[in-house]
Amino acid sequence: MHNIKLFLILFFFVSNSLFADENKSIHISNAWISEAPPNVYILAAYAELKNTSTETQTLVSITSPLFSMIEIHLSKIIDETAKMEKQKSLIIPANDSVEFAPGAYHLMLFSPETPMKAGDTAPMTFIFADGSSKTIEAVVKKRNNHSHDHNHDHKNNH
Amino acid sequence: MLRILSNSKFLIPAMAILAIFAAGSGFYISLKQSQNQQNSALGSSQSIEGLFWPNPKQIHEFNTLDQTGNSFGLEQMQGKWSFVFFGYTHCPDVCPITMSVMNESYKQLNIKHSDLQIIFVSVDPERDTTEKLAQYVTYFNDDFIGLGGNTEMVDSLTKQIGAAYFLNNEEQKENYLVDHSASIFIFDPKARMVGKLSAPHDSAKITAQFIKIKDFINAQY
Repeated sequence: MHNIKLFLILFFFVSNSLFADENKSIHISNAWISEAPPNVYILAAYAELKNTSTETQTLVSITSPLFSMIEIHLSKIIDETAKMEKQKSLIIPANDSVEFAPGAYHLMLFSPETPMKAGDTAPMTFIFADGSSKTIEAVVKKRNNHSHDHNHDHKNNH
Repeated sequence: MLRILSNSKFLIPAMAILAIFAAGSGFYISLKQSQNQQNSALGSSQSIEGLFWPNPKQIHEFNTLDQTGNSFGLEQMQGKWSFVFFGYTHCPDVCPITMSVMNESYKQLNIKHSDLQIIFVSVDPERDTTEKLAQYVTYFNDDFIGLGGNTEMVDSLTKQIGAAYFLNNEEQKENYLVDHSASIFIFDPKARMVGKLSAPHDSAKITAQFIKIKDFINAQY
């Protein structure tokens, strides 16, 4: 099982570097996956995407060899009701950034290959409308007030 | 009365009765005033965010199952303060955020407020089995309670609280999403819904609001 996982990851990195065009204007930081309770196979991931170019970048999909599917979602609270809206794509304006953060935009990760614990990592490839992509490693972390605080700090900084 | 007053024989005792009555009512007014002052020191009902006063909602019998499979109803709400939150285990963002925020708050409150219980109610009974609920709630805190059962059981509580939910399971059969209340409802030991904390949640804010609400309710007894 472990060998298969290793092979999948290696294959993923090699195939991405061979066939895809790396997106040089998008910088992805603080990518993390929230550790989920046992037997929960829908996880959330968060990150910050910074567009350093003068052109709009559109995120159209995300893939990972360790998850069956990844979707972009937006959590909303309307009339005290929590809803999630699936997003077909996400625009990152020129010289601007978009944050995936708890309670806001997040990535929904379906059916992990194996249960993921804090400290584990997963490669994730962000694919853009122009065909370019960016592969990063996201680390699994336990969710605590810290993640929440980060969100607040970030908002205060802007 | 007038005839009695006009009769001088009854005038003195009548005045004495009036004097006693006047002194009594004066005392009553000053008592009321001091009570009001006490209330404003604790925060009046208007200044406490999320407080349902003077009309808390009394909860009646309901019938759910807890994470061990035991029946959980009105009796289990009595004699304790409760936080009640509605969600589902397949919810990746808002529910685990709220659960971990409630855990932080519970850890702060539990030291002085050992009469507080934290209840997660699943509004997705089809996917959230008793076993799943047990694994889910205890992941956050061993003390947490998870309630479920069948749709009818869950509705016996959601309908009373007014915590509507909606299963988006028509288009998506397997990984469907559920719209659910984002608020944390607060119940007093008489099983009255005395407050509601609105999202987004923050553990320090929840802790402070709960203490205000609890002090206010205790001052009403």
